Amino acid sequence: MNALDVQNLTLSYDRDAVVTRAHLHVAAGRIVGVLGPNGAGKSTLIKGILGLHRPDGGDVRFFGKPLSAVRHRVVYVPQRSSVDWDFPVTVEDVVLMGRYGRLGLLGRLRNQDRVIARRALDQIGIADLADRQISELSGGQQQRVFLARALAQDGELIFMDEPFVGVDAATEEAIVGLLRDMRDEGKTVIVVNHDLQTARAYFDELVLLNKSIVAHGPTDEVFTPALLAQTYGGRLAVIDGEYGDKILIAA
Amino acid sequence: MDSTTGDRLVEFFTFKYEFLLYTVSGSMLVGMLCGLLGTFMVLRRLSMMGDALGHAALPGVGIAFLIVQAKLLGPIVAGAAGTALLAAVTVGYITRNSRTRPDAALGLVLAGFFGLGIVLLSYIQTSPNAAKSGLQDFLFGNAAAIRPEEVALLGGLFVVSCAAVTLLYRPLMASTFDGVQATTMGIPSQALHYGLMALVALSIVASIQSVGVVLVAAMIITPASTAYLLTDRFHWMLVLSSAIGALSGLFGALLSYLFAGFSSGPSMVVVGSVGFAIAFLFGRRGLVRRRLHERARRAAEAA
Repeated sequence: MNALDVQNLTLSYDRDAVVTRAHLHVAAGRIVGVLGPNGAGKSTLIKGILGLHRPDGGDVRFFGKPLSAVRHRVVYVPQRSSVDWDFPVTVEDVVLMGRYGRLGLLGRLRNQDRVIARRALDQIGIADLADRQISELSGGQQQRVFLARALAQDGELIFMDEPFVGVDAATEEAIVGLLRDMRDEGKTVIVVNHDLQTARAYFDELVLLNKSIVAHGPTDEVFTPALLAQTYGGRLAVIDGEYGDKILIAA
Repeated sequence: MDSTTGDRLVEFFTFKYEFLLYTVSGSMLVGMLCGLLGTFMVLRRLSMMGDALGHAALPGVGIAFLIVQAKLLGPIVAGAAGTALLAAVTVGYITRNSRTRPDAALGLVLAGFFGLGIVLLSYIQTSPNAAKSGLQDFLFGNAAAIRPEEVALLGGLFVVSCAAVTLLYRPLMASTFDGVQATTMGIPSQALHYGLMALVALSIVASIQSVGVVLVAAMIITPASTAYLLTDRFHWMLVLSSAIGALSGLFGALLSYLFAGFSSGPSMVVVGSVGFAIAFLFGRRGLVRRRLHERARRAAEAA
């Protein structure tokens, strides 16, 4: 069974179609990169899949079921910049929020939830920051907090919107390590990204998006100059590098 | 301080007259209620929505009076809540269905509803109905004229708000911090938002007798903003904001009782603003401490 099945999904803002007729089928246990130029509808596609943006039409299934039936198995990591980092909570508070979905409206945190949150902090290497106020964090640390919250949710299909933006090299490495660990546990990770340079190294599969899905498949088959040019239009240049490699520049 | 002021000070704190009991409890409840709910409004960046709700309550007061021809609590609360909520819905509707920016939509709805309220109130002043006296209190507040049933309403709202915040503490915190992500976890962010807005609208309506529609938003914004400067923890912000609100209410009512011509609403707001200024300058994230820190760091770097 696929982790994700998207049929004919169309999304629009103010009657302007942002994503049209998207079909997407993702098998479990993959790291999938969603690439495309600015304004291609990458974030909108993710939000539409997760029901955060009412679609004009189409159908989305997670593990063969509608989202409401499998909510705890699906995790969303929004862009870091989407929240107020001056909010009066500690790192641990935010990570514990990852458990709230399972508590129900009136539930109380149990000891087990705190253990899971601790483990998540450990896994992403910020256990020492647990009691810090979140406004004291660097960009990379903020991203790690978001990922620790996602880990605490303990889902199987994880959507990440631009997790590599504005993070330091060590954090980027830690995130990639985490993605691979998740995949090796059979989880599926779908990552919106705009950096072409790292796409080949990070992702098993790629989805090329520009208003509609241009291509989807194993990275080797999809990461070709022809398909990339088709996705990025005139905003992409392929330059022969000094050592026989090719350098891609997206504008 | 002359002796009469001293006497009045003693009167105030010993509740010499029965109405002072209502004045003090009502004003403090206004501060606690608005302080508690204001924490959410400030953190959700909805401060100005509080202002719009307050101003938009005025035409409801006028309409209710024109219909029942008396200053009755029930109709006035219903009318004020009605126009306040209508204003909130109108702001959303205009924003969604035109290119008008949210801040402009908020400003024009606030002004339009408030203008209508003033027109209605001045029209009522020309009528011969003797019951109209005291209606002007709704502009700037008159805590001394607050009645027992109004205090009861404020108390009831405070109990309901405390219960809601306590029971729904975690979902409210998560949806305030990251509403979109909370929604994906199954937390009903939107329902919580509307529930919160309904409580805020009712609280504003219940508060206008003592604070007035013009400045009621300050009771939502100021204590919460002060508390925000003083703490890094959400639950402490809720507690501090309520406590600061209570103190603003108490000392505002006191000033208003001591000095003739001091309306209670503006007095409470001035007290609250002084509190904010103190926190801004001397609080743990305050200006003075930050300057001292900087100076110490520069000295350390130089050494």
